[in-house]
Amino acid sequence: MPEAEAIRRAQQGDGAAFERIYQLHSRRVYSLCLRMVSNTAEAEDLTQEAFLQLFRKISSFRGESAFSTWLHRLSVNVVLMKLRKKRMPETSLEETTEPDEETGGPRRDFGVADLQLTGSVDRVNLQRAVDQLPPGYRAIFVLHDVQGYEHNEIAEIMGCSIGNSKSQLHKARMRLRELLHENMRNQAREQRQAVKSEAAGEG
Amino acid sequence: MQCNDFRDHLLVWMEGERAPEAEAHLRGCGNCRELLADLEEIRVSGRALGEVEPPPRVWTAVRAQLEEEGLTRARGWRTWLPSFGMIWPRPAVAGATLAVLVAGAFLLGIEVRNYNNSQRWTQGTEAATRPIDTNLGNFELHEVSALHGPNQAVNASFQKNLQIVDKYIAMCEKSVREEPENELARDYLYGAYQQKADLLAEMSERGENPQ
Repeated sequence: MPEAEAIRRAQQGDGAAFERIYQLHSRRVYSLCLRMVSNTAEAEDLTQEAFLQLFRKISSFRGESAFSTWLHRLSVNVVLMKLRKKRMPETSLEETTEPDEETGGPRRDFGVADLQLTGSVDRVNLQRAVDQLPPGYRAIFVLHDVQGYEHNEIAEIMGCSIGNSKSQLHKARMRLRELLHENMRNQAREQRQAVKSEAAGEG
Repeated sequence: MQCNDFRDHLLVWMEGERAPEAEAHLRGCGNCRELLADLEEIRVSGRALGEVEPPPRVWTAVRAQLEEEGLTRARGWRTWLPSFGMIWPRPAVAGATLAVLVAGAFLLGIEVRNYNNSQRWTQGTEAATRPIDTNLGNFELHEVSALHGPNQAVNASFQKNLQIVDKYIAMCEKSVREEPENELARDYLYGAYQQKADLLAEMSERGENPQ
């Protein structure tokens, strides 16, 4: 069943059409939720909530925007609401503050030579760093760099300008770089301490 | 161009715009080359996080809620049921209770097929499912009361899954009542009981070997 037909039939309450829509979009929505909250149980709940909201509202869908954009806007809102409830630091899309100002952390010169990330960013480290991003940055990074949306689509999903989407993505990547470097330094420090402890134990 | 100027230009550079003066700066500045390499690494690594399929129970829960809210037309049930078998990955566990239940469901299938009108089909189905339902109920009472593993999240998840399966058993029973001669509806009802038995067996195993 093509998507347009599934939408039309779902608007009339056809159960098979709901399932078809779910089949078409659940992977993307679940992945978005999972990357945003980094917890499978929560991601499942959020996916469930996003689709329930979608199906409750589907009769009001008039096709002004692409269906997938509409669904993703709804999904992002569901996730951001959840994160807001968890009282994590929220970042308005209109904020133009520098990452360091947001976190209150020590300001670091991005150009200073440091451990290089090239070849050392694995999925675990990256996800850990993504988890530390403010939700607004996280959403745009996930939508663009993980899910491959274009800035014009993200602007529509997030309700911001294309320029804002680009700028937020850039800041998100810069913040990720700092976080990855911090994590690498911490890991290196832990390794040194472990070696030191081992040597002390032997001596 | 200085490092700060290059920093201002980075955003458009990452979007593919290459100003000659930025390229010239990059050739002579190791720090900015490192910065750029890092950002590229992050951009590429992001894609590697990839997409993940949600577990079937998510759709099961959505479907149950839609059903409960009356958002779907009743005729849709038949096309919905085939995915039901995917709700729970069947654990490699089977106690004596489970074996009895499976055998009961199998015998039920044979028994019910011998009826030849709607009323008798319904009666036959009810007569055959009652003992299974009772056995499952007793088993559930025992397992739920014994559910005190150290991991509260797992316990809560079991409880939640049990509710979902119960909803589906109710849905399947309703379908059988509406179309008592439909063999597929009955098969799914047996499948629903089997799923509940599997879940209870898994709870039982967890209870014995809490992790």
